[in-house]
Amino acid sequence: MAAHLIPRVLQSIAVVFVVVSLVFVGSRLIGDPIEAYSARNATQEAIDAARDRLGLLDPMIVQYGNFLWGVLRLDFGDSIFSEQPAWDEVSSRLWATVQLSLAAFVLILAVGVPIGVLAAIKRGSIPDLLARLLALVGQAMPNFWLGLLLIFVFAVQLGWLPTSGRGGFDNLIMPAITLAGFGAAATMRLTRSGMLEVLSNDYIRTARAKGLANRTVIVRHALRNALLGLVTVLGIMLAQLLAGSIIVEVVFAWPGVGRLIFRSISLRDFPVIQVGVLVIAVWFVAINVLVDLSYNILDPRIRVGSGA
Amino acid sequence: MTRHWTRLHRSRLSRRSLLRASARAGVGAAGLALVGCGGDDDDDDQPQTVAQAQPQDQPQQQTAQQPQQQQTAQQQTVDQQEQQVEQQAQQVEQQEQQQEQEELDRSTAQQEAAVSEVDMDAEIIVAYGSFPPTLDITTAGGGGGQGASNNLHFAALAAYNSGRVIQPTGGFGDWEFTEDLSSFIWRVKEGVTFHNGEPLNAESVQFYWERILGRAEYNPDFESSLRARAGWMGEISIVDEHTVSIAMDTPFVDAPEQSGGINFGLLPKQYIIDNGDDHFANNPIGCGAYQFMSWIPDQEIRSQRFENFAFDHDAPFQWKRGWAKYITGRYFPEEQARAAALEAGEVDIAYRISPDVASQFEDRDDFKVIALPDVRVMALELPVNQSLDPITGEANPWRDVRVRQAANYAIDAQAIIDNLLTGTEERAYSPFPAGYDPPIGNLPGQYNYDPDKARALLEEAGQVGFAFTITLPTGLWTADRIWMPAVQQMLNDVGFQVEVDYADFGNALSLIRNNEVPNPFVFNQAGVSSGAPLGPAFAYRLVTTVGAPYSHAQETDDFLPEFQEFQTLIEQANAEFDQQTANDLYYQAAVISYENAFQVPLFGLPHLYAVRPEILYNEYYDTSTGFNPIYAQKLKT
Repeated sequence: MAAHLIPRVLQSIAVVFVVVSLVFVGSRLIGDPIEAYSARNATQEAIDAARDRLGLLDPMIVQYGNFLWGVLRLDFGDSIFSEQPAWDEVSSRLWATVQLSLAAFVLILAVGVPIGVLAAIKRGSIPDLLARLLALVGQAMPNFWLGLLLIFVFAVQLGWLPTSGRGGFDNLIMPAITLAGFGAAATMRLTRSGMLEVLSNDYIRTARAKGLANRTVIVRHALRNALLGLVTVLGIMLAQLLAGSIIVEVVFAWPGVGRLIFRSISLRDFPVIQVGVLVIAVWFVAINVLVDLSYNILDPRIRVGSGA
Repeated sequence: MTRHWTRLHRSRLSRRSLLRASARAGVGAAGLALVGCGGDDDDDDQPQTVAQAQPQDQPQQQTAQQPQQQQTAQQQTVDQQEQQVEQQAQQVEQQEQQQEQEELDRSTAQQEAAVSEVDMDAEIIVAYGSFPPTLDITTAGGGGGQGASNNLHFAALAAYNSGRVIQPTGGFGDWEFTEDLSSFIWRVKEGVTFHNGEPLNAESVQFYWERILGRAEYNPDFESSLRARAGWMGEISIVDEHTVSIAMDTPFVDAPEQSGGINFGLLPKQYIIDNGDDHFANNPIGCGAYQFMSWIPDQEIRSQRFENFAFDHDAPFQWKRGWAKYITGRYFPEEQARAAALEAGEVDIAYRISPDVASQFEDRDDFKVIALPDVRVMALELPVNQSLDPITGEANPWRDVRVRQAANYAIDAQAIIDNLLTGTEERAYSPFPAGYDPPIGNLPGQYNYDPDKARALLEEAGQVGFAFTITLPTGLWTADRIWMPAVQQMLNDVGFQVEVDYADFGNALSLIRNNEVPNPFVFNQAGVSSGAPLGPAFAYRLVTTVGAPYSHAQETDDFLPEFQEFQTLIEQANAEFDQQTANDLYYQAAVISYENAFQVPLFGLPHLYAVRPEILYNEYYDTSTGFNPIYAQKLKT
C-alpha cells in the first residue's frame, strides 16, 4: 500500500507545484497588479513605492522564488480589497464551503445511490419510473430556482427552517439539498445504469444460482462492482462541489469561499485568487488520491501485491 | 443667472397658495371685464362676492355720465374687490393655518405617544444586499458597507441639514476658512469620546487625516480610498487641544466636505497605533451612534447603541442618538431571499428592494413599504476622452457626438418608469435632480426618446453595430436588474450591440474609482440637492471631470476640445469662493456637457424598503445611503 501511496502523493505534490506555478504566471499575465493596488490618480512616486513594496521591481525569477517561499509559509500577501492577509480571507470562509460541500455530498450518496439501486433492481416498475422522473427533474432544475423554491416553502410558508445564513444545523439543510440536487440526480442515473449493467453479468447469475440471498447478491456482488465506475465520478463531483457552490452561497447568503473567489476575480485581487486556486487545486488532487486509494479497497484486483 | 434654477414641474403648491392664486385670477378677470366692457356684468365662474357687488355700484356710475369718473369708479371697484378677495384669501389662509396647526398638534401627540411606546431595548435586524469587505471606513468607503457599518459606527466632523447642505456649526466640529484663505480650521466639539473612551481631540483628527494621506508614522504604507479626496491638504497642525489647521497651497472651496464630510469617519489614534490596521479593520472603534459588537464576514454585523453618544434624539442635524439598543445587519445578496427573510419574520427591514418585490408587501397589514427619495440621477457615463476603443484598439466611437446623442435619443426612460418601476420616479434629462431644466444651450431641445433620430445619427456616424459593454454595479440601486435589460434592449433596437456586465457593487465601485472600467458604466450622479449652496450644476464636477471620484476622465487622456473647455470651467468653479460666480461657471460647464452629450441621464430612483409594521421611520437625510437604521424606532408589541 505504502509503495503505491508514496509515488501517488509525490505525483500529487508535483501537480500542485505546477498549478501554483501556473497561478503565478497567470496572475502576471492578466495585468499589472499595481493598477489594482494604486489609488486613483496616484503619483508616480506612490506607484513606484507600491511596486517596490510588492517586490515587482525584482527579476521574475526572484519574484517566483519569493512566491514559492510564501506558499510554503502560507503567506500570500494581503488582499487588495480588504487589506487583510489573503490566506486569512480564504481560510476564514473555507470551512463554511467545505461544510456545505460535505453535507451535499453525503446527501448525494444517501439519496442517489439507494434510489439508483432501487430503480435498477425494480427496473420498469413504478418506483423505477418515479426515480427516473426525479432524476430528470433534479438535473433539469436550476439550483438557484430550487433554492428559492425551498426557501418559500420551508422557511416562509411552513416556517420550519431559517431562510438563509450560516448558523446551526437547520441553516445547512436547504443549501445542502440545493447543492446536492443535480449531483444526486446524476448519481441516481449512473448508479442505475451501472447496476443494470452489472446485474446482467454472468457472475451475478452464478451468485444467485449458488443460492445467495438477494440482498447479498445486490450489496456484495452487484453494488460493489457498480460503484467502481461511480467512484471516479463521485470524486470529481465532490471536488466540483467545493468550487461550484457559488450560486447556492449567494441564494442562501452562505459565507463561503466560492463567493469570495468570484468577487476577487472581478476585482483582480491576485493574492486572494492565488490562495483560492491553490486551495481548490489541493482539494482536487487530494480527492483524486482518495479515489485512487478507494479503488484498492473496492477492487481486490487493483490492490498492490495482489498479483492481479 | 438664478433663472437657470427655475424648477420645471416639481414645485409643490399647497392648497392655500392654490386658493389664493385662484382668487386673484378671479379679481383680474373681473377687473378686465369692467374696464373693457363698460360695466357689463357678464361674469362667469369667478368668486360670487365679486359679481354680487356690481349691481349696487353700477347705477351711480352710469348717472355721472363721465367716462373718467366711470373709469375711476371702476378702478375703485376693482380695488374693493381685490381687498375683499384678499380678505377672503386671508380668512382661508387663517383657516388653513388653524387646520394645519391642529393636524400638527395631533401628529405631534401621536408621535409623542408613539415615542413613549418605542422599545428602547429592541434589536432591529436589517437585511442588506451588499456588505462591506472591511469595517475600516477609510478603506471600505463606497464599497457597499455604509449602511451596515459606516453609518452606525462612525461619525464625521461636519453636520448636514436634511437637504445635505453642510453646516459650519452643529456637528462634531465647527469649521471656517482663515481670512487670507491660506488655511482651513476645524474646531472639534469638546467632551466627545470614542467608543473605547479615547477622547476626540485635535490630535486624533490630525492623525486620521495623516493616516489617510499615508503620513502617519505608525504605518506610512497605509492605503486609503480617501487619499485622493484629501490630496488638497497641506501641513496639518494642531493649534490647541481642540483646534486643527490645514494649510492650503491654493484655496480649496470644498475643504469642509473633503475633510469632514460623510466619507471622513473619525478614528481613535491610540487604538489604531496600539492594535494595528488589521485589528482595526475587524474591530472598528468610532464615535458613531452605535458601537461595534461583532461581525462574521459576508454574514452578520452586530452593533450596540452607544450610550455616551455626543448628540441626543432631537439634535438639529443628522447626528442623533440611536433608538434601538441593538442593530444587526445581515447579508442577503439575493433580493428574493431578502424578502423571504422579512416574510418569515427573521428580519425587521428588507433594505433596498425593487418595485416588484415591494409590491409583494404593499397593502398588507403585516408589512409597510417605505420609499425615500434620492436627488441623484442614474446616468450612463461615456468614455469620451480615450482616442482608442480599449476593447478593439480602433478609433473610439464615443468621441463622435452623434454616437453619444444617438444613445441619448435611444432610451425611453419614461416607458421604463411607467412599466418597470413604480411610476413615481422622474425622468431626468441631465445630472440635475429631476425637476430641473436641462442646460440645453444651443440645442433645439432636450433629448427626448426618438429612436428614428437615434438610428439616423448612428448611421450618419457610420457606427451601426457599434458593440460595447455597460458595467452596472448591482445590489444597491433599486430594481437594477429590471430596468437595465430594458436600457440594453432599447440601445440595441437603434443599432448598438450592447452587453451588460452585472457586477458586484463594491467591486465595481473600486474598479471604477481606480479607472479600471474603460467601457461605459452606470452610476448615480448629482449628489447635490436643491438646497445646496452651489446648485445642482455643481454636481457636474462629481461626474465626468478629472479628479472626480467616479469618472472616466484622467489627466493623461486625449481630451476632446469641448471636454477641455468643460474641464477648465469646472476647475475654475472649484477654486471660486464666491458662490454665485462658481454657480455660473458650473452652469456654463453644464451647458457644454449637455450639448456634447457626455452622458446619458436616465431617471431618479427612489429607495424602497419593506419593514415590519412596528418599525417607525420619521427622519430623512439626503445621504447616499438613504435609510439609516439609527433613526429607526421599533414599537413595543
